[in-house]
Amino acid sequence: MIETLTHVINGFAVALNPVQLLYVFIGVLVGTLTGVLPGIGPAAAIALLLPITFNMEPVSALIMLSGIYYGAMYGGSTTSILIKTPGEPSSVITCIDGNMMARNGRAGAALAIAAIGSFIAGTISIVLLTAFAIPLSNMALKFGPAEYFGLMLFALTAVSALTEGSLFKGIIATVLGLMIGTVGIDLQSGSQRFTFGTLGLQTGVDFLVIVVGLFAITEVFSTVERNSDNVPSSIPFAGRAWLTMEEWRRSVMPIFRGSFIGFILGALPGTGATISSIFSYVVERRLSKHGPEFGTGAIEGVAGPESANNAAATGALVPLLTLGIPGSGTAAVMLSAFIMYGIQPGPLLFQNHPDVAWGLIDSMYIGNVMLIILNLPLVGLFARILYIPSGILLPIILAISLMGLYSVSQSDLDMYMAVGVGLIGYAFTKCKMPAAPLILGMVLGSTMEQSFRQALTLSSGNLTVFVSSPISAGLVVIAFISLLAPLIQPKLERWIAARKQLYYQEK
Amino acid sequence: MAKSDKILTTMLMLFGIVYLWMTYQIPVGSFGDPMGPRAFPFILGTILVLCTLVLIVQGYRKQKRASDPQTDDRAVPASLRLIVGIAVWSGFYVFFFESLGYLLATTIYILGLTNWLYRGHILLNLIISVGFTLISYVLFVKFLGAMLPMGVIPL
Repeated sequence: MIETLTHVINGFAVALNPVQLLYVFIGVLVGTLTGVLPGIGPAAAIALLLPITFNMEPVSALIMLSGIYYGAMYGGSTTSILIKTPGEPSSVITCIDGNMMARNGRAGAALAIAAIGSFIAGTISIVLLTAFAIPLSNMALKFGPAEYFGLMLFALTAVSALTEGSLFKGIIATVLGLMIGTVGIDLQSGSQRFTFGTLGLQTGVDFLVIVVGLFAITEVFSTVERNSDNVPSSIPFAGRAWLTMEEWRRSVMPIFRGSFIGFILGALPGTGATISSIFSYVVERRLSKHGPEFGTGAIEGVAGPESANNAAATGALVPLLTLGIPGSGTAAVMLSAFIMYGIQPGPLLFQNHPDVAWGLIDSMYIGNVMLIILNLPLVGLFARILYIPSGILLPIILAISLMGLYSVSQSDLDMYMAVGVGLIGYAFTKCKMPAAPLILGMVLGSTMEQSFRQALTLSSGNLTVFVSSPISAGLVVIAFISLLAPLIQPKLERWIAARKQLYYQEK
Repeated sequence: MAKSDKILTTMLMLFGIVYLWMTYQIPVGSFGDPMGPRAFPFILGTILVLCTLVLIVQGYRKQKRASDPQTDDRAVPASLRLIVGIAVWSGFYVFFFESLGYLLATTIYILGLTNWLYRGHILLNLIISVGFTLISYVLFVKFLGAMLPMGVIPL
């Protein structure tokens, strides 16, 4: 422990010199921007900046790049809350209650709690990283394909069961998302699936197309419809731009829980911020006294998931640093950065290059502080975006969405699809079909299917592999319970109430 | 269950059936995992069809029980025409995106939309259209290195 402490302090010596601080700043700034802009994600930003960092000191470069990584988690929540467009998959959950809070005039509070929660979670998770990196990576090794499948099954069933609307609509939405995920070349067999022979669909449907279509464009259509009935021309921003004591009180525990949930799930390779935010939402909804408020603007539904996704970004560094295994696409790009500098992450990283490892970790503390300083004052500024008359805001949103798509993929097919998806999404909202499960199904779909098939390949087709280990069996069982709960619970309650009545009547 | 619900659910069920049919078109390799590329889609398609069936049945049961006239809050809102119009206009935008180039196409696109949605402010709309297009161009192309088509305007 003492040794670790020495390293931590040395790390600060590395991190606190002005040049490094500048790099942290640039990193988190770029990160926040990429989180806000739909289209460029942290992975893309890191990849774009990689060549520039060639001539930099490895430590500086890595500090900047990881600043981008968790900075993006801050930025993604802004657009989720204000215009219901997730800038990152991990911000999808924030759209649910965050945007509702904005509609209720609490946009400032939502933005603030997202920033504060992210900061607290980031700090907690960095402490956890400092202390637990190695034991955690040992635990992560116990997760095989069957366990991963169980994890994703639970995540998706929980989301289908908990979002607004009927359970079956939630399942349908999830399944549709999973189906979209099956489009493209199947990695394990090389077969083309649902590509209709077009080149554009070979790599599948771009996540961005669905996000832009289902969230941004659909939201534009919904707003147009709302505005034509009566004429509020901008989203109401009544109320104070800050948190009330009550809101703060309700958020504290979700933030703490979210930090731990996010860190642990982020440390599992293959799961990251998205699953963490789902889990946090599920947990908070179950535990909260304000359960029924979820979906209409419960602050716990923002505080928890936003904390979780930041903690997960830090957690994802655990397998990267300790095992050399990138836990996500973005972490993979970071891995290539490490290798480019001739540093091999893995068990020997802390021994061979302690200054890099600890300098990096310590810079994250600083980066977090910078982010909160950057973001909090900007909350008011961002919230003012809502003041722009929607007649101007909506066209701008549409233009950014479409050109953003093009700038990433140069494909007009993607743009057409996004518009089409927008119309379908509008039809969905009219029929109360939830959108969040769809996109989550799409994000998790290919990993889920791969885990499914890998597990079965390993067990030679034996289905009991999914309940063979305590972890996977437990997850599968919880998944089924969460699926059946909405069906059984009302009947159970009625039965209990009826018995009670009988009992009292007999008396 | 209102009419549009029924339409959507039925369409989803048909989609599920088509999806299942297409699953059988997927070429199957001869080696590797016991499940193959068809298994997962097959499971998904089956779940979709089953769930839509449940929804339709639920809808009929509710109708019998409640027997109230279908709530018709979807009486083709006037906004529907506007929405479809926006979608079509967006389609044109995409169509001309590469030929006209980013700057021209986007300016026209936004001009059209703002005049539709924010009537009576022609000058402001013009300023916004041009302004936004220029700023976003600088931001995306110069700073972020994105590739946007030049089209008609030689620069």
